[in-house]
Amino acid sequence: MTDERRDFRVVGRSERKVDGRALVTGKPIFVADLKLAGTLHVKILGSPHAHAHVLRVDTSGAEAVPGVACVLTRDNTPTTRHTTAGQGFPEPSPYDTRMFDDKVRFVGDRVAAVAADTEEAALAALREIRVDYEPLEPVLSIDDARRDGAPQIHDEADARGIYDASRNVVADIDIDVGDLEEGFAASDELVEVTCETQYAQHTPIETHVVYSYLDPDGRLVLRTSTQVPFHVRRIVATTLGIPIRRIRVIKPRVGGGFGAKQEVLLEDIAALVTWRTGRPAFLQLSRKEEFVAARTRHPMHIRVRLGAGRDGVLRAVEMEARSNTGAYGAHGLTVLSNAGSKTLPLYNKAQNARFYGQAVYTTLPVAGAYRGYGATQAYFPLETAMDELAERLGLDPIELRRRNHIRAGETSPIFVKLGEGREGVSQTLKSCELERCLEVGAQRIGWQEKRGRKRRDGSWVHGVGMTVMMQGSGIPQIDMAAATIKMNEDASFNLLIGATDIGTGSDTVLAQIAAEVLGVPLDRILVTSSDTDVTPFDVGAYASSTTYVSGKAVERAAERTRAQILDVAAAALAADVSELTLADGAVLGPNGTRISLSDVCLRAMYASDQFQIGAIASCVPSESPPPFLANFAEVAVDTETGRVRVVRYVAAVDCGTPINPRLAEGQMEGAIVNGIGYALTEEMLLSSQGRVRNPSWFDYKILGALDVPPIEVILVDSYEPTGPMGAKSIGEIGINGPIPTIANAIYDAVGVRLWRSPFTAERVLAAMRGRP
Amino acid sequence: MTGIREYLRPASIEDAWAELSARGEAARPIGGGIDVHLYVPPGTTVLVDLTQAGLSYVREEDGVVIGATATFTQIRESTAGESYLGGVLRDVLARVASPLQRNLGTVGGTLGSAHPWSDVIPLLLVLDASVVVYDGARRTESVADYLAGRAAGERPLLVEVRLPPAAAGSACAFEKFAATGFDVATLNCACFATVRAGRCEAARIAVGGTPGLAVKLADAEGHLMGQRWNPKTIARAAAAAAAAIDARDDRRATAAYRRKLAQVGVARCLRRICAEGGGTE
Amino acid sequence: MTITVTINGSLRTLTIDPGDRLLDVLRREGYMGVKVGCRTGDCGACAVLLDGRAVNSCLVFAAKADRADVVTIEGLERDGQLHPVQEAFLDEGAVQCGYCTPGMVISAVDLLSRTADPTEEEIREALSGNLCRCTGYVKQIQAVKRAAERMRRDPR
Repeated sequence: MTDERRDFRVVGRSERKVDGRALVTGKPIFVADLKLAGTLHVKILGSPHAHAHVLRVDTSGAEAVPGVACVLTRDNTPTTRHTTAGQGFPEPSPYDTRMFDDKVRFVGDRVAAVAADTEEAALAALREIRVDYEPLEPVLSIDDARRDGAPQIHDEADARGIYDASRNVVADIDIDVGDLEEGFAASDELVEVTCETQYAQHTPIETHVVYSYLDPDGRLVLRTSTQVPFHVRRIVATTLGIPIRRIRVIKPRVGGGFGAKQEVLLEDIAALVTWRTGRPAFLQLSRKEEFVAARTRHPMHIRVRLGAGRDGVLRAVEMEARSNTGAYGAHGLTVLSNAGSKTLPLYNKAQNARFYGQAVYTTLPVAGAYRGYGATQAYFPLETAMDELAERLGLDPIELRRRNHIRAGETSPIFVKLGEGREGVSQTLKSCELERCLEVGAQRIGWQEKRGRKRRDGSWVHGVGMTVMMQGSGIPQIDMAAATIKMNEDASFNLLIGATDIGTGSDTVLAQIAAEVLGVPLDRILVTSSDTDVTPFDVGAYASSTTYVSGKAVERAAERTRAQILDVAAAALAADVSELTLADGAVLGPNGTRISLSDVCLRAMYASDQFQIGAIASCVPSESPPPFLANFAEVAVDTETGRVRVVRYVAAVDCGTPINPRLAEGQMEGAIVNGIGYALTEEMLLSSQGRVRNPSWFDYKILGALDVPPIEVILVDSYEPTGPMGAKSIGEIGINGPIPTIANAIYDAVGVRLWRSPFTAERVLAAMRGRP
Repeated sequence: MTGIREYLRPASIEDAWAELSARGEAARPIGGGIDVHLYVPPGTTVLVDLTQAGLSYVREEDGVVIGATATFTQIRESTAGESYLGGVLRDVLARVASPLQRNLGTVGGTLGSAHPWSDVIPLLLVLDASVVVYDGARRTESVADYLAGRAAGERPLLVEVRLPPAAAGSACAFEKFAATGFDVATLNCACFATVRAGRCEAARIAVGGTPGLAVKLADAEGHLMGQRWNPKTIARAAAAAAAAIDARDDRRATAAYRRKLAQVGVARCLRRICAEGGGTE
Repeated sequence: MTITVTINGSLRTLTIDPGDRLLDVLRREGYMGVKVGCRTGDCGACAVLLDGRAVNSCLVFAAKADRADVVTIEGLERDGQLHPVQEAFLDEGAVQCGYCTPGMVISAVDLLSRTADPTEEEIREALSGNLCRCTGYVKQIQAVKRAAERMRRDPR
């Protein structure tokens, strides 16, 4: 590609994960695997009402239960309003949450917490708590919330950052480019599509869990399953009024996050129990609580209108989004914003565009961060509308994308108008291999052979569909990551990174980057991550930032360390740095001179001009180069039952340099399968009282090994000059594909458009029969 | 499960019955114990684990005899599982729960719980299975009578399930509709027929998960009895089955959709039986 | 009550409550590789081998394990050598967060202990009771195939 490409020795190889052996042998490295003497078990009492005043909480019965050490309610806990959203300070989410409030706003909302010697005692004590509620009218939909006279869900005087609390509006966005109406007027074809996506839950196999204790110096240690250790430290400090210097947050291994753990959900309770009692505290959500009282994906209602000329070039793109953020506003603004900021720039040929919408409170489960973060919901109507438009114009859907998608060297005015909850950052793309993704993906799925054929196989009809998408790589000018490297005498290096491996393999990927720069094998890099006492700052695992942003910090720290190594070697070899090469664990000088890395360190540590070889470096990205993806799906629809089966799924992705190709594939495969569940089987069902009706895997169906279709991920050759070793990102984008791609394939098969996910068999059959 | 105070493992059915009788309502018999973990009735303080009482057998004996504590995996892996009626036990049980649960769950446990989505019960109904129970003495009754008795509060111990020998020209088919591969049925259909010289001499149809518990559908069966096998009779029987089921709306599906599934499922089962049994199509 | 159970080859006498689950008893005894995912048999994260068969330990009364043989993920390693299934999981990238991994490996070991050359369908069925949210199962199925190949070539 470009001249900057090198022959990588470690980067670009599918190395085994550095934590793999410990995981595959079941070592006790997750939060719940710790056992400290005197640990209190903490249980939370959740509200039975979707909306109610809390008049009185009588804990006397609970306190009398033997073994109970501590009962927390709104009467004895800090009143600090904060957001639970794990975002950079000041967080772009409203401060609308209190530890325990005077009101409950969804079924399962916190009312009290009990800490006791045993789990049984804690549960027994919960049953003894007497609460007087004054039930209020629940608000069960976006329309309900916006209705004149709707109850005001957040009427507290001290909330901050809510756009219009009196109308239950958390966030309101309206940006435009050019002149939308002129654009439509100049169009030969107009298409309008409205889609609705459902409540879905991440269902990480490990639920939210935290273990808190005091260290020998009386400092609070939170060992927590989190994506955002530094945000946890800051938000717990603020909420409880404890100085940051008295808190240490450690993230051990995490059993999946996907956005659910980009949140300060439990740590405040455990921390307060420990702070008050002096004892360790263990708090883990049950699977039911994970469904009901953790976080979910924002259900959205999005309308897209496209106008294009006969030449297939878009003249105008309009997206109107309404988002249900649930009972609290964490991530409400930013997910809404992302629905536009990660979709509209893709089709930068449209000179006229408008994105507008609102995020609205309801008295329903709280939505938060979930892989894809608004883009997943918005690609449904956008790529459906493009598919429809292609048909109207008599163009192959691939060709329509070709005529409109952004390319390297180009920009979009949307980049600067729409960021994550505020203005964004302008950027001109330096890499985009979407062209190639389309080419190779189409060929692999057999697009020409299969499109429009409607091949029959008994009662099944086959069809193929495609979509394209982009995401981002970190939040430009806002996200910051840092890395520290220090050298040891055996030419190994400690790599200390705030970056948060939640199963994604970032420890490995970042170690590969360091190993590459330092010219050593991967096993010479010893990773310590996500310990706020030891590792430098990192915003955490979200916004597909780790490889691009944290990776860059690692690359810089490694380069500075490398420079020091060369300086020491130069002195040792009496040569000039310009005459030296670093390779294969040694520094080679002129005239066949050589010094091993180990000797370099021994010299610097003990012998001459001693200093610790090492460096700390940071990265704040100035842009967010998007990864690109072309999805192709073959589906079969059972015309007798409406059942949709994915026969084959091909995803061709441009993520820049894949630092570890197998891990990159794994990210895509996992995201795709989650996305297929979101498309076909997953839906949280709510009762007329706002209660979750299916809070278990028994009734909320995610895909299992029997359900997964053949999936082919193609990592297309690409190089992003601003990224470490040419890398961009890959963590989220895959999950955006299945809904619209499967929807377009269903249309190809049976000529029916679906506007509402998931595409259950019953819904598809009804659509085929012409019923809503 | 802090309410449980005793866990007993009697060595015979008679000992088990004695323990249960002595402790009354506070005691529950278990096989694998799966359902007791998930749905324990309040007041249960004694568990009587039957898996050591010598009931974990699967024998080819005047048809098939399955001990109450034979696990689903044992049944699948037995010679009877492979050979009875073309391997219908092996094939149907592959759809039940997960392999982890099949290694633990027993046929006695599944009959005792009688979940409305049960895949095993419609199969046993159409196979004309009978059960041997013990409540001081052994006696034999139909599966339907056993289930009716349990619904009425009777609690004899299940000893074994008996499947009659398969007559020549017989075949059995099963269809399960579910959202994913590891899921309970949104609806299931089991059909059995004996076809000789192109005519149906015996027909049994059961549909379960309606969302009610499976029952045999005599009206639908009537459309097949004595008839020639052809697409028309199959369609009539399937339509009759769809009309006859007690379909209701629930979280998984509407009643109307369930009727559609019943019609499709029964038709598919009958077509497969037709193909296997050599009837005219 | 007490039970006598062999765990990973060691005969143990344990004091338990009659209502205890095997999952909790094992974790209490330090076998932290046996994971808690749901406690209702829906996810398989807690899977162990009970008399050679993979079961949800959250659904097994510990008392049922009296005189039985239990193998957890910790018991698969021998003299520092990983089981071929464990090696294959690492080689194929089948481990992401690793939380479902112990249960998944146990199910695979059960399959391969009785089927030397499983079809893809048989592998999918064997893993069907183990939920994973990270990998999409693609590399896990591949890993079991790879392990089967290696075990056929080189029986332990």
